[in-house]
Amino acid sequence: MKCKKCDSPKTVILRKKDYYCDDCFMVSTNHKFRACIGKNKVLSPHENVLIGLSGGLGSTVLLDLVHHGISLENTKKLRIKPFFIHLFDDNYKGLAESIIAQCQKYNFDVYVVHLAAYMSPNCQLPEPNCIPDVEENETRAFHDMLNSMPPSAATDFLLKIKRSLLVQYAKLLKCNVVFTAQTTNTLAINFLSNLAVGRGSQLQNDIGFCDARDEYVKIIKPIKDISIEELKYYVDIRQLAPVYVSDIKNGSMQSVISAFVSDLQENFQATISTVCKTADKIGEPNNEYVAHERCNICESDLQTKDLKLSALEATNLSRTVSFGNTELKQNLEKNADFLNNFDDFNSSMFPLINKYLCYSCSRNYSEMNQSKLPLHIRNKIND
Amino acid sequence: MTESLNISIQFGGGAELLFDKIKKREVDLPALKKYLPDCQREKWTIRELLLWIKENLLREREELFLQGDSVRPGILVLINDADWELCGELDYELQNRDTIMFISTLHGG
Amino acid sequence: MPVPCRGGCGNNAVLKRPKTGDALCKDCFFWAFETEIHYTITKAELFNKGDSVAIGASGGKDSTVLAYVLKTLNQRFNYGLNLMLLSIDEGITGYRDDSLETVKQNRDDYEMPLKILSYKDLYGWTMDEIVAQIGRKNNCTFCGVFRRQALDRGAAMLGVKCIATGHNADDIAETVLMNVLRGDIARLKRCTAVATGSEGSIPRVKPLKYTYEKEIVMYAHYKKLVYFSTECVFAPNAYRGHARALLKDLEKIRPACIMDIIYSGETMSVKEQVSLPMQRICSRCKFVSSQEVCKACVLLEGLNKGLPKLGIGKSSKAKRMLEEYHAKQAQNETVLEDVVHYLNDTSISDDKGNKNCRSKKDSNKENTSNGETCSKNNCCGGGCRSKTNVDVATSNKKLDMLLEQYGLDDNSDEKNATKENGVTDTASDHSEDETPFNGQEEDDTCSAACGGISIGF
Repeated sequence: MKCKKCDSPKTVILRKKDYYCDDCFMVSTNHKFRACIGKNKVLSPHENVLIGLSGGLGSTVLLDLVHHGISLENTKKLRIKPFFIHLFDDNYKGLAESIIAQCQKYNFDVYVVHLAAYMSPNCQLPEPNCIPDVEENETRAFHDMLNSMPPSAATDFLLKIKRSLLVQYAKLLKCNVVFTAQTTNTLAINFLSNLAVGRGSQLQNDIGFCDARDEYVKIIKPIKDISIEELKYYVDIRQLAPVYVSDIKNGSMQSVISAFVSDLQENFQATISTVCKTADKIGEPNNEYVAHERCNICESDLQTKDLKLSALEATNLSRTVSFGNTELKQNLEKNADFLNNFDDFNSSMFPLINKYLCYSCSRNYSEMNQSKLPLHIRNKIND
Repeated sequence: MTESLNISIQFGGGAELLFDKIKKREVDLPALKKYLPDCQREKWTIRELLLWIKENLLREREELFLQGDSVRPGILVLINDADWELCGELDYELQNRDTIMFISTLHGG
Repeated sequence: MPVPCRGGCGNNAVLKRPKTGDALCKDCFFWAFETEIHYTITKAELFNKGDSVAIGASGGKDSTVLAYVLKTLNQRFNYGLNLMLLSIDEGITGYRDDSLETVKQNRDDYEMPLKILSYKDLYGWTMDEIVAQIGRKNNCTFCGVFRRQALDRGAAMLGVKCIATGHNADDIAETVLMNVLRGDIARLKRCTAVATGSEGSIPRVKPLKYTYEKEIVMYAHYKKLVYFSTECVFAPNAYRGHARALLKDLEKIRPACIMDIIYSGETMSVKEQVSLPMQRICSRCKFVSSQEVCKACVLLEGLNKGLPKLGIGKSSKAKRMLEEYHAKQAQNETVLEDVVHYLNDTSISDDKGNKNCRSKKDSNKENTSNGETCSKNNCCGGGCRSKTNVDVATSNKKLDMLLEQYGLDDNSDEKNATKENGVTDTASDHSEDETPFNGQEEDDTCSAACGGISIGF
């Protein structure tokens, strides 16, 4: 069997039918990476780019691709000034160390930031290439906050915390663009997870190529079209060493979804690619920043589709009628349409909704100990 | 002294198909220590009842009724005609003359 | 220790409501349940005063509860609706005949007129006969397509304004998940709508859209409503079953997720540049279709000609198959005309239920090399158009040839390795812009194309 491009003996088999040799495969993968960035026209020449590293498969490959790109001398040189960041938590010091080592191999500096930085409004740039000491009460406050929520809310919330930190640090480093290393696998899981928590209107930003929710910083996913199969070959060929740690909490809906996707993918190999293709078809044709009121946690647009009736009203009604209400009962008996003009729904199921928080963040908020939110956020959302 | 528990077990919504199509049964549960010598508990709870049902009543397709140590999601459990979620679910301790009903929701409408 | 009812009535609670976690007693639950459905109906303006409404009745829990609640609300709030039950008899022994008894009981208990339409009357084939003809593959496609049209035809005969179906919140959430997994963007866009319908077809509404299945079952249980519950005998493990299992597992963790998934579906937008199939009218039977000839007509033609794969898979393939078939046969205008005639004829069955069975003896004689007269004597007078008794040997040869040509060979497992059970491998060549779903081969699975029967056990 020969490589389909150059007739050398094949070493790589993709989708059970496409054969490549190592070199042609690397060229093709590189091309996918560059094409993804290129066709979406997000980069200006010599752009400062902050790159988020988790240490996993995608992140390891992205690191290598970026290094390769900027090392080229010719016109194909990737003209960005990269900065690297790793967000870590106490239990994963080993992971942070291996990421520092990974970056050292390429002579890259990496900033290691504790997730607890979310708790304070002003972040500062730490010394690169070392694990910072973090104040114990900060990390405790951070963990208390996450532990005060059920696992599904915590897993979802953690994603928003990371996003928020990436945006903040990008601004500190004067980067208008952030790269994250989501792979088709994580995107498929995140797609279904988003559906399950009510983020249907945010899919384009969370799953699509570009997250344009911040006015100044765009978050893009340059390797989203590269499959797990290809990533694994890449890592083999280049002898890289990813370390993977999952953010998904046990007992959460996201963990069920993750297992479900893996199982289904084993039986139906087209599952993940189909889900990703579906994701590409969702959203608005132009996904650009608009100056609307935004959610204080995830920065999503608070302006929602104008629907006569949606699950939101139905839930609020459920709460209202469950609390009984003899007055309501009597009014309804007199006027069948009474509920249509009724404004006084009990909205305790969705605190602060559409004023300060989006639907899903509002639900998370209702499930947590609200006093544990960072002070600077509480100040913004308290009337 | 441990007495045997007299329980009424009922099936509805199609669940009876897994149990010889019998919708109602009266059951006398033996002393828990005798039936499950390794059990830590003193009293029968729904958790142990499910084990008993699996071993004594369930005719086929176990996976359609049970998942892990609980009922398959989609099967409602009523304890004396009330939602088991209000009574502690698997941890509810059975009382003499209780009626436990399993209703399947997993079919067309 | 008993939990008090949230309704403030002083009673003990009997159930915990999944949407909100609130605990209610029986009476407060009944009131809350009914009021919520009332709100869906009035806020979404599903009906107008004086409307005639057909309730799609299968005898199952959803349609039974729907009929009961609609009757209750109609009286309580003076909707002024003229309610009736519409039931479809697919002709599945041991399943549908039993559930129809339940529907008849509903008719008596709720004092509503009942119309039963059978596939036999409408199309000349029962599901039993179809499965005998085509085997256990793809039967759900046939059933689903036929049922959808049967409901439309029934509603037209009854002269109703709209059809109310018992789709509940769990069904809708499950459909959202399933459409995502299968890449069916067109259906994904439409499936959370509370009312669907387009030019020329009778709208369908889902008053139970925000009602949880758990509460429907509890309501029926406490009200002692009678319903029929079992699995369709022709539907083995279905792809939809995966989505259902996922949904149930998610619901166990966070019951509100069913509403959240529906909300996701309601608030998501589909990119304009995605080409969604346009809704038009079938050139044969004049019913709504996204193709020139609607799926039901194509399937029927396939059945009547002994081409069971006709209509399964891409519509372009169906076209090619038909063209080839015609080219290879003596042109038989009469057969086609008859099919067209019959399909155009809307007076299939008069009110007395008499079968309008035209003699097709002549046309059968002139039929193609495999045609023989229908030998079913027990059918209305022997001149039955329902089934040309296809010579199995001949048809299989012809079929095999066609299958081979279009690569639809049942045995090509390797080829079809990536095209399984309703999911295309979109990583491979995908020449058409149609949604992946249009090109699906459905193998041993019912993907609940029938739209109503969900599979549990």
